[in-house]
Amino acid sequence: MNALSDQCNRIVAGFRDSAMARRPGAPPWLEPIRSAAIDRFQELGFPTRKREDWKYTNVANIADFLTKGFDRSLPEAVADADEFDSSRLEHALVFVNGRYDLERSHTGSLPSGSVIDSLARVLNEQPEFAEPMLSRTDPGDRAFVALNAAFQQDGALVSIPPGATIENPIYLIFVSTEAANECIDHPLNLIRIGEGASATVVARHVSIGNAAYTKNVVSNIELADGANLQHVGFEMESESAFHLATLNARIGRDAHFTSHAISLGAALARHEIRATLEGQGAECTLNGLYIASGDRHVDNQTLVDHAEPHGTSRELYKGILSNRAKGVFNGTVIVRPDAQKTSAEQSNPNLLLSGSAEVDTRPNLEIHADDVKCTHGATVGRLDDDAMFFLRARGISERNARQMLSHAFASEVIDRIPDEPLRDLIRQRVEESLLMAGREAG
Amino acid sequence: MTPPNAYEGPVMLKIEDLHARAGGADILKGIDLTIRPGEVHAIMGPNGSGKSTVANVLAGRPSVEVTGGSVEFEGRDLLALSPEERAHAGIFLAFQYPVEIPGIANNYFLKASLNALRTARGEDELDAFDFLEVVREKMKLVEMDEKFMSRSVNEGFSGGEKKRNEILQMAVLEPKLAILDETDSGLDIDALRTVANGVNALRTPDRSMIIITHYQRLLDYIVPDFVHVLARGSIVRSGGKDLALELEEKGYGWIEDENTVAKPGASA
Repeated sequence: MNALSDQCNRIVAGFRDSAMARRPGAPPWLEPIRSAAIDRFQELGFPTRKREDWKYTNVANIADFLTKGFDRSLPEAVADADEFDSSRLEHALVFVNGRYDLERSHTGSLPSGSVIDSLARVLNEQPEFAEPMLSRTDPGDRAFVALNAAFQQDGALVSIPPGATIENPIYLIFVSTEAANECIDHPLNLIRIGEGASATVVARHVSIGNAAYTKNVVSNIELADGANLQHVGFEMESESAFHLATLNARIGRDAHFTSHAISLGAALARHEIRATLEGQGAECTLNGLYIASGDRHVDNQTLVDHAEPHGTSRELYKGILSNRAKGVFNGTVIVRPDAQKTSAEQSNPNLLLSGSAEVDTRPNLEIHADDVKCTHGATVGRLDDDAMFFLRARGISERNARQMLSHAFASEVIDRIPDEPLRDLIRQRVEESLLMAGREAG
Repeated sequence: MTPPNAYEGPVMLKIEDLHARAGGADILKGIDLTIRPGEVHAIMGPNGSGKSTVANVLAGRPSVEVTGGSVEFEGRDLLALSPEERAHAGIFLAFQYPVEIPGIANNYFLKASLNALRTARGEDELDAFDFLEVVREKMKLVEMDEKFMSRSVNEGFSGGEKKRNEILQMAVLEPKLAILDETDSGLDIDALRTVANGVNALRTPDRSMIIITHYQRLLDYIVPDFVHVLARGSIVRSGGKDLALELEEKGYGWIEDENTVAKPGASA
């Protein structure tokens, strides 16, 4: 028996033996869902590099980590999370080391019928809000989604009623402190935007200190007809952490889903998005920016599934890699036979700042309809010599010139981020990441 | 062939027996040139004679390799300096093909540039407010609208706008030696006049200029003190401003024939 399947079996056996399978206070219908999920995980096992979508990312270290720590309980939230100020945000749910932090969380005034709350609280107090989406949970062929469904303890539930508009961003803040060392967290976020409703959700993953932990987050998102959602995933995990994120989006008729996936942290980060355009005229925009230096590994997997006609998808992922960092972009666009008049664009430019940085980019179009417009392009390049010389001839140091040009490369993605304070914050963090990347590369 | 010195005073730039390679070919084959403060020198020559290579060597473009000779700027070995150190020392190159840099705003770039120079000179950096005041004043020189400042550097600019932007940078950075590399190329007569007026407004008794051009036209507006003709990598003739007129009349064939270096197809 090989190590991965042995580890898988130990996790499954542990789940069944322990009290984890039962959770006091949870509604009875949740148990079979979790139990089915662990069965599915056992069937699937940990993914190996034989799978196309795991070809460039080795899960051995993550599997090790999960096997050693799956029964460890989440640490208490600690005081040093105070430096993370959520008070000036109108809507913020704060989770510290996986636990909902009631004191730091609050929501402003909301249209009636809106729910923005901790999933665990909703499950205890008004489980009917969570049941429809939870019962639709289907991990499919994804082992880490199955693991999340089995082990999830908390996360956010955001439900916006039809026709409502939430002006200010809804922040979901996941803070990991030093106390999270060796811990595993499986947050599950359920986001539903009702018919014609509109909202912005920011899922921010941030670390205080440099703990080694694993976070396996799943976000299930549903946009009803005509709904509009901007989702910003802003990942700045500790440099010793593993971060796995899976975002599933189902987009209804004439609904518009926009994702901004910014990845700046973690030793290993994997960001997977599956967006299905389920209604006619649906729109899906995927923006991504990944910056990695040192020995970081960042893997982006996107799948845009055009199931209905007149859909539009626009995808722009940009990567900046320095030192020995490695980036992966695997972008699949499927156009189903019914999805005539689909317009799909995908682009993945990458910037390598050092000779030993690496990127594997694989655009993948599967087109089964004939009246469609699909384009894709991927590039891997270095900083432009002429632009470097131009800036230096104007007195700007080589290091600052690299920094300016790298930032200019990234700004196309940053400029699209909604909400100015958020955009400025991300720009600032990107600057800092680039400074670090430049220092290592130089 | 050092020109007669109309100007007194110390030597600012001294180029001696300069040889350089670019793109795998020997381009400059022994250039000598001496420039004093306040002098305006035009370097003319046919395509491929090495004009732009002179500009690039002086500004320190890494892709040009100096294979022999020396360049002194105010007594310092210029060739030992990085491009940014040359800018700090007071050398400015107005690019023949100004680079477009999407994602960097023109005002951000120019402020970074000016402050880099100020820092190198031991002066305080200008804040956004003071910088804006400086730029507003200088923009009048080249008749540039303020909206260009918030746009990305040269992105989507017309040929004339790019060249005006170069002269604006020169006006803000106030170099000791400005090298204008074919600033007239691609300009219609109105744009040429605007650019030339801007340059003329920046002429001072201390500031020297090297005007590199293929055509005499620009020199109607920016009148040089000296004209040098470059052919096949060396200066074949030097004179006063009248030499430019003579060239306009007779073409470069005349000079090249007169100096039968007999190297068919030589130089890039």
